[in-house]
Amino acid sequence: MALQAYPDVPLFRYPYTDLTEAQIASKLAAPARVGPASKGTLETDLAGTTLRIVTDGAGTLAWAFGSGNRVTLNNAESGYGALTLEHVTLIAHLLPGTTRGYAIVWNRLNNLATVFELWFGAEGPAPRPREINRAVWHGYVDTGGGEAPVERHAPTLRLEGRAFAWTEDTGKRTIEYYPSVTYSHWVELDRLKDYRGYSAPTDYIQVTEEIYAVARVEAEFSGLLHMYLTDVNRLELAGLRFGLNGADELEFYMFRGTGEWLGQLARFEKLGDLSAEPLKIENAKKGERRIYRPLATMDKMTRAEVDAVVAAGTHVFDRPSAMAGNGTAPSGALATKSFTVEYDGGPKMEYRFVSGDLLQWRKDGSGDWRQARYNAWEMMPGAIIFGHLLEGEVNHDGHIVVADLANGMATNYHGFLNTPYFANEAGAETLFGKISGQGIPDPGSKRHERTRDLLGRAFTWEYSPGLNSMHVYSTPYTTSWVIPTPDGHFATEWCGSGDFVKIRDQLYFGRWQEEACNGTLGTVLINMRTMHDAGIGYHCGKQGGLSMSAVGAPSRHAGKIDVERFFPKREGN
Amino acid sequence: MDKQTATDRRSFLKSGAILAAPVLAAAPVAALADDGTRARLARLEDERAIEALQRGLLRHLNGNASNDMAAPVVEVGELRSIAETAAGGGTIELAADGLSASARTACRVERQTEFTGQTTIEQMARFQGQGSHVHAEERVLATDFIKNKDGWQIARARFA
Repeated sequence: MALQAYPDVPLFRYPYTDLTEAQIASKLAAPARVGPASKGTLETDLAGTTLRIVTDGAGTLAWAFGSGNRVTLNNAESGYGALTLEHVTLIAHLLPGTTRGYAIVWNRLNNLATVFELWFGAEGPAPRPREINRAVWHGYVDTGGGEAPVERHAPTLRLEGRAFAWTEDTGKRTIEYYPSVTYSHWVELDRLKDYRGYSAPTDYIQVTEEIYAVARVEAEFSGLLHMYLTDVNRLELAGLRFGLNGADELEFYMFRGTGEWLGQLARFEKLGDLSAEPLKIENAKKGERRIYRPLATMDKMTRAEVDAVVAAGTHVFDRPSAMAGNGTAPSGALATKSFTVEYDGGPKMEYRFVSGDLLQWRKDGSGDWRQARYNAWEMMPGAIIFGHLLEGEVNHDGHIVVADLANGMATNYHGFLNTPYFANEAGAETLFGKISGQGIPDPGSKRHERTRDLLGRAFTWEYSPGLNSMHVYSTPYTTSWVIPTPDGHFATEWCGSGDFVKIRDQLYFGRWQEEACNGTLGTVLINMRTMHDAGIGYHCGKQGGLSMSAVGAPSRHAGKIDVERFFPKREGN
Repeated sequence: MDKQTATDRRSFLKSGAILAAPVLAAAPVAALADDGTRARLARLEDERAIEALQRGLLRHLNGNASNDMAAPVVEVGELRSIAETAAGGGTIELAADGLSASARTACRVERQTEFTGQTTIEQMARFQGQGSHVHAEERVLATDFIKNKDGWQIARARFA
């Protein structure tokens, strides 16, 4: 694959180059001397200033600013850039001859400061040299007189739940969700073409009541840093973009930006709890934090291995599901019924439901009837989700179907294995069809349709005691999930492809694919009247083999972010 | 089926009130020969024996069983702890023939779940340092007792 600065494949599919530290150092050499680029004018009013910042943990660092954009730290001169929001200045520079740099946040009114130490490789916690390391040091500017302040900038949860649309002076637009205290979720509207969202570890530092420092490292992908000061009251940005894009080109520039407030999801900490380091690591190494690396931990199986675990036995609703400890009981509503589902452009599936958990199916009107175990849940009268495996299919397919018997329509999240990426990772397609059978009305050409009713919404799911999450339906094609801590801080976040179909008013069929991340196809039929879902997970792994299992949880509606206008309508969506 | 009657055990113990009439009506003839005192004493002894067994059962479920506590048939799953709630409200029902009884005791149960599975949510919970979870439930412990030549024994215990 030719290198692409911003790939036309999902970022989790893109083979980012394993650059060496030496290669990165080479790319940094000239920009270190020159300083960061910028579309607009960078500030030079620091000439003649010496900024001595006393940090908690990294000692005292002294920057001597010369004329133009020259700055000297530790006897090494480099070029810097500076941008100020109100009375808070962001300063950025690299250390020549190294893979290090700094971004300084300086509140000129009270002289509190935060130093982001940035570096590639060199004993940092990042697993690859191209992924930038950062250590955050809070402190103050030593002005040589008076007592040292006790106040500090600090991590904050004040931004948790908010979402903004930012437009840089480069013209690049990004939707940013902050549904977590430790992660953020962003949607590139210009750099990327497919309107997907991605999730990455993020620092949120409160500088003033209005101004925050936000810094995400695109770990697991390019590894670059995108950070900024944001004045959430004036909806302005001053930022730094630093790292290597998909074409291994160095991006080292500062920017200004403006934004739109898009909404706020609920926070779920106990009222009065403003603590903001829910995943703090005691005795952490410099720059160490909890970064979820799902690709590293997922099972990666070959087709032969998949075939072998399937041959050893599948597991279809035959054991308790952690995802359904608070689920509703399966329904026997389909028992003794028979009907046929004809999918547009897909198979014709004939069904005989022998009992409440056993069915017979035949595909495309030929071959023998096959028996399969299934479970079903009736989430609204006559609207039933059921799922079963198609034993004998070469890709070990599973059908997860919402059959709306009252309206004669069905939607199928057809899961299959043997994708080109990992044989055990579930692929999925969405099939729309009509149901024919005794007493079932003919819908004619009418079908369930994709919906944007869920777009921007977030729902919490309480699957089992101690196992909770929140879904954020961030784009028409993305489902993101965020995991809370026991005290209600939402923290680790990840995401995958999503699809969303309206079954009836307030009844929606959604899915997510855990691509390059555990490989599960998850589905939920969400009833916004009962605020409960029922769904089915389709998964293949080394330990559990191929399985179908229940998903079910009561829900809270955490809010809706106003994002629909950013996503052009496509045919069928 | 044995005809049973119920009494609030706590109020019974506090007030020393006698059991309900149907039980007395079914008491042995010898007991009826006097003014009912012997029957009441017998019932009190039954109550105390059942209470002692119930306390032993709770100790057993909490992992602190005494050596002479025979393992009862319990169907309550894995527990971290169990304790009678302060509100209590337990009842003891004695069969009319005096040979079986059942008790219902309001309890606060703590369960600990280890998240050892391979689901993404369990993996992410472990990643966040949340590898297990303790949660409390308010449950009613239903215990059946039988009386034989060795005295009262627990036949079965489960959550109602």
